[in-house]
Amino acid sequence: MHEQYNPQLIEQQLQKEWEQTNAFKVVEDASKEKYYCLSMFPYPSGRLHMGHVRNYTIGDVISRFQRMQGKNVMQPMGWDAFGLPAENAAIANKTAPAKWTYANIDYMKGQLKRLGFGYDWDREVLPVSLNTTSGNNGFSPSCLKKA
Amino acid sequence: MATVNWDPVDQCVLANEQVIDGRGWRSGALVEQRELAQWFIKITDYAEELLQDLDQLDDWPEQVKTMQKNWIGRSEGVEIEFKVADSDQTMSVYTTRPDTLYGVTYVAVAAQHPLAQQAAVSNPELQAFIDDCKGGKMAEADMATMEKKGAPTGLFAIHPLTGEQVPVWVANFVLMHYGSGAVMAVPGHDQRDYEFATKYGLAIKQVVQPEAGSAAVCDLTSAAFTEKGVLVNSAEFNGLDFAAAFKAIADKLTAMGIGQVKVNYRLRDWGVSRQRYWGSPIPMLTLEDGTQVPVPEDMLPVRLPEDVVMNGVTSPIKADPEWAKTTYNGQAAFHETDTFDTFMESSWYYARYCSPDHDKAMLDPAKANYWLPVDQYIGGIEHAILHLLYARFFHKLLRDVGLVQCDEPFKRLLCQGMVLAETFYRETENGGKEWFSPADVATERDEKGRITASVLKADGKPVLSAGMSKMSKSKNNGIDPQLVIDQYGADTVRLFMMFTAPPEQTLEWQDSAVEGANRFLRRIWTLAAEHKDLFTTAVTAVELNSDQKALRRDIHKTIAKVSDDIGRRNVFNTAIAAIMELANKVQKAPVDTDADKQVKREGIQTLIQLLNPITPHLSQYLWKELGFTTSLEQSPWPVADAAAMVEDEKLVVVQINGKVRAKVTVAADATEAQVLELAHAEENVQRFLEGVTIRKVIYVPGKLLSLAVG
Repeated sequence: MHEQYNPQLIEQQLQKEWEQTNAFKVVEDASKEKYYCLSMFPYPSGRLHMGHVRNYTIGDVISRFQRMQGKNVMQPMGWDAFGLPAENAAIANKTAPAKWTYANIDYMKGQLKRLGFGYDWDREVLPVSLNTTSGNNGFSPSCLKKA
Repeated sequence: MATVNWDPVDQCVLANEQVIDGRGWRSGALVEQRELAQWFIKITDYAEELLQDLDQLDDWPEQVKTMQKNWIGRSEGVEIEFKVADSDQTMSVYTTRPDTLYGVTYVAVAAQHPLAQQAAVSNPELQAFIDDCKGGKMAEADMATMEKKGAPTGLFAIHPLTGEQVPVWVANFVLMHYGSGAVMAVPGHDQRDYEFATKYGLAIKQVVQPEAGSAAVCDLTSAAFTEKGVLVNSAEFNGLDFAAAFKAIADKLTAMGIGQVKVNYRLRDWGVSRQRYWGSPIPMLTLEDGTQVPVPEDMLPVRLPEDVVMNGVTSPIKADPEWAKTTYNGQAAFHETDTFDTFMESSWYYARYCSPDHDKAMLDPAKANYWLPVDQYIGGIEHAILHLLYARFFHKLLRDVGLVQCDEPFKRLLCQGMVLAETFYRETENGGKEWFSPADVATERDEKGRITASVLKADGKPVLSAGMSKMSKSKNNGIDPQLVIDQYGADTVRLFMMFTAPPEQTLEWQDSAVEGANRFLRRIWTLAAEHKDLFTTAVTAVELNSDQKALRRDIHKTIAKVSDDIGRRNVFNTAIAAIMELANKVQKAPVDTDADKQVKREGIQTLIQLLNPITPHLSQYLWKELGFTTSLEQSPWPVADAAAMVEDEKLVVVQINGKVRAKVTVAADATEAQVLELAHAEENVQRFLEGVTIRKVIYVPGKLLSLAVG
């Protein structure tokens, strides 16, 4: 054991382990009390800011605490991927909003992992993928009216 | 067609909630009003339920519930019909103050009201005023503060009870899409009507006076009297109070067939059409004959092409005429090219997480019903109205189509405070301010932590301090989390975030506090590293002395406090403070005897467990290093041992004639006689009792022994 605290070393080692073992994956289990902890998903603007870090740290502390109480804890994460900023950035950079958005998601996902947040990444949703399953606009017609 | 908020910079329609102080929430551009065909979602059908169910949300901040309540804006009032003089037309107005009906001196209509449009045909001045209103503001919040302007239509309305004629005015503060676009004006008892009447010389009439014994004063020479009171100048209704007058006048109007009691909501239907590309296509088709139908299920989803070239702001699916073309039942049809407001997706993503791969429907109900509702939701207070109201609404839709069972999506809500940092600037030559990143500024502080001097590291010359402010690009005071992680590691950032302030309050970024958090983690590391041997050698349980018992008591009191603070109260900073205090005690505790070792080991192990939610890397690494083979996070949370928390000894103060003369340690259940005996054994007590008689003894168990002597 090292005499000195070396966070970079131990943190990245553990994060790799969590990723390899899919440590935060959960499935429904009727024998256990469930706990669903959710933090508002970020807009993939490019980089995490301190407000995100605070929001997601609170969520992760609660999730880990509840997991240690023996509960079946789901803590997912995803991306609020549609919206004007992506379109405006794409116009400014002469690229496609999708490309700009996916690149940002990649980077920000790395940052979330580097903060040690225990998300079940198998559940990751982004509206773009909601759109390619039957969900996103499959539900709406029944409650729409034109005026 | 609908009048919409048009953002001229983003070339897009905005929801009312996205117009802030008359400007687009993202672009900051002044919003215009435009007439466009739009898709709406009928959230108003759920207004009452969205309001009522707020009562179920015991674990939501009151502030958020109040904001939603005000946004829904339920009111009870009367819809009253006014006839237009010399015409067979009528107009209806809605009022929550039917008790002031006799005080109506004019009627005000919106610029788009049919009567206004009609009158403007032969009145160019009025037409000019109406045109002027179009550039005005749309959001209701702006109505209170903007300058009230109006123009007479030349028409008159007939008062439904007195038969008097009152003028009809067009006023910029009346909105066509709120209520009927017409309001009865009672300048004597409504401040807005009062200001308008004063400006345009319209009559002001008192019909309510303060109740007998009330301190309120009605002085219509300076302002409207807006409080409720007793009716005057109101014919047969004189003397009635608000409730009685409301009912009597509503009953009379109802009997006459020109009025009805009505519940009104401020909440409007949700306009969801956006003319931009990067959103979910609205799944509607227009057939060749112009009819519009939902996209049939087997054609869903409507996919947005992702490989596009952005050419200006025109949406690629609008620019490409081929994209919209499709067929419906064998006939040609066109896809809607507008996309949904992005709040659509965030309104139900929480439910999609329960079955993200389900491809038969939006959700797999079995999985959704296992996980939902969300037990704890965390996010910014800026979403108190928009997102949280839409998500609650969507949840009820999901429930009503049978996909989920519960009524509300989020059981408990925590809205975290903003993160602030110091701001520094220099005045520029043109009178502006140049902002410097706090990372580039060196500061000196007094003992209270206040900045006394600050210089730019680059040139060593002073910069001005403008205090703490929300991290933002405009003030250049954002701290990049990545830099802090690279310097200190994630656990330090996490500990700092959770320790520095309660979660709902603002958090002030201070480098010194970040360093403090890092120092604490290094201490924990050292504590574990130095005592690794305690975990490898077996120690048999032995009898504890009072110091050891005291430390164990602290360990278990800390477990109880941390469990309650995190598990029930959602307050983390106090939990961490308790952990830090315990760490000090554990660190100081000796390791001379087996009993010492046993308690110290329990202390170190507990610290690591309690810290895991906050600093999981450090905790889990140490856990393994100390020889535990099971996963820390899968191991049970420590349980506070009630027996260990019992204080079996108390420190009792001994007073003689009101003065403290000694302190004695006694068993918690010691009798008065036993305490007195122990007090007598104290040298100082003996000194003050010499040659005197004890006249009275008062013993407050576990606290105080008071002797009166003389």
